Amino acid sequence: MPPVPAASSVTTEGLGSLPPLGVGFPYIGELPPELYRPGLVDFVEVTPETLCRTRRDGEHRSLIVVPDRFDRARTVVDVLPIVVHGIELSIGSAIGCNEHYLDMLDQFQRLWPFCWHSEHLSYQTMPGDDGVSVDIGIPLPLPGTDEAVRLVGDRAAAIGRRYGVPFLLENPAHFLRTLPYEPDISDEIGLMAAITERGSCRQLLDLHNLYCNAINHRFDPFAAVDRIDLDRVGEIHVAGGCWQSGYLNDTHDGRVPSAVWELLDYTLPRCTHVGGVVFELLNYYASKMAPEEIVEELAKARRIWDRSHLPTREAGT
Amino acid sequence: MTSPMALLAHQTTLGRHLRTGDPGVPMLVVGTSRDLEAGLDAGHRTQLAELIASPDFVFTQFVRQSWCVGRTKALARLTLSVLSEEAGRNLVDHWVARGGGAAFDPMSEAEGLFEFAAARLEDPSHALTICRMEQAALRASAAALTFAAPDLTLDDEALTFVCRGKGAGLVRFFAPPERLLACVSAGEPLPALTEESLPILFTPGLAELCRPATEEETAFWESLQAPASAAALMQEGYPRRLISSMLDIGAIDLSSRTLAATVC
Repeated sequence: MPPVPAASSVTTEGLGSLPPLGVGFPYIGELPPELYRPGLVDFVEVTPETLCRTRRDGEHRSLIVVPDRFDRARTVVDVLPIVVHGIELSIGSAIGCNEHYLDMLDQFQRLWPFCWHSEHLSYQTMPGDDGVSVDIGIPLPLPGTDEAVRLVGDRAAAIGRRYGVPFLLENPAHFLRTLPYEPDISDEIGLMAAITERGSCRQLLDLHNLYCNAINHRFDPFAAVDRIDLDRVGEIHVAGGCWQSGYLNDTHDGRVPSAVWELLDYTLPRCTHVGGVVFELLNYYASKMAPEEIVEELAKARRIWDRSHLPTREAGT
Repeated sequence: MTSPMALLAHQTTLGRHLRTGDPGVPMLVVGTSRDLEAGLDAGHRTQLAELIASPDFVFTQFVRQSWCVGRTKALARLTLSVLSEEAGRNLVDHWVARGGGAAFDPMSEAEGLFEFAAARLEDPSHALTICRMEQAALRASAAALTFAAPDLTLDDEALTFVCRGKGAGLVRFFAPPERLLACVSAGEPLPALTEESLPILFTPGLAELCRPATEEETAFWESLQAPASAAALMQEGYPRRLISSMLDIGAIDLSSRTLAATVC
């Protein structure tokens, strides 16, 4: 088992320190294993739910790690360190977050330790007619209220304690321009700041999500970056998207647009505690992108990472 | 927006409107209780009403719909491949319209989807066979992750109740399975239905998860419509050896009535 890299000596007090890993890529079982080699990527972002099956027993739901999928992922990733990027937690659900995800992650961490853990700042469940939690079908952004800050902040703090590694929340892309925000929170940047402060956690800054919101909600993404507490940013995502019905959709389906690369170039040197930059690609679209194109996107990310004078650890050390 | 119910009311209102897919539904009517309604102040209600009526919300509904359709298609890939484009689209649209495809892991909806599909397919037909096969294969592979044959000697047949295995299924093929699946895989016309069917048993305890069922196994499976005591089954002529072997491969499970009797 490869060791979990040592934490950076530079920390923001109380948030947990992140080892500066470098350039990362999601584990996608359908892709050639050759993409996961040291030198091309420095770490791998694993979504553990993709290595699991859901079991329902009445109202009880559980996630079971599938040995074949897990073993293959371990073989492919080999000596590269991993971080976990979950999709199933629904940390913002007022009815309760998905405890079955955390139960699975307890087991997953024992099997395959990770450097840090991230989730999306959103909710995807609500009470059904009988009061039992049901899936909405799409993650939705939280309203900017004190209640949301308390709920998610306290859950984030508990998760940070539970796993003993830094916990990060990702800023979501969404299309709802007129979400309610209380005056002292004001907008999604204020909401993220308040939650990460209360939860003593970090932000996963998805620059493509920010860019989509900037286009769809008509604000300047560079000015938005200036307002983000970049000391709290522990990981950055870049990705591609597409236009649909007059909206820029965060489909994470291909190459990164040049505007997002420019945002990365602008943002990365100012993030004092960032552990890595990940080129995001969804499993569903992986086969639609040639491996050579993926390599090119990873190389672009590395050039910007290197320009930012951030140290890169050697894999397996 | 200071009420402790406000966040729950907000999420439930938006979520239910997204699931109904009908922007014309009055704001707090979609199954929203008075308690929830009371959680929102007037300002928040007005904001939500405007949000639900906005093009932004309609586009969010569109994205949700496309995710639900995509998840459903991925889950029932084989079944949909043997239906006409129109029949497949109708099946998926109806499933999504009744709330299907919403789970982040589509596998958690598999049972419901395949029952929904099977009820709409001609019996017998190759489409129904493929649907039942896809359902049984998913069921058996999921159960195989945690399957362990029960430690039971059937010493007390009267207290031992068995039922069809949760991870098992028996699927009737109306053409040689290899030939049918080769046609499905190649997208070629499907063979004619045969008069006789070949029953294939899917269980979590088999190394390959499936194999042709014997006549004895088929008769036993089909007779076991409800939990029955091992003693009664043996009186009907099913041998102890058969019941034990079906338990060993997960084709049948111990019924909760056995467990209740053990506890008593």
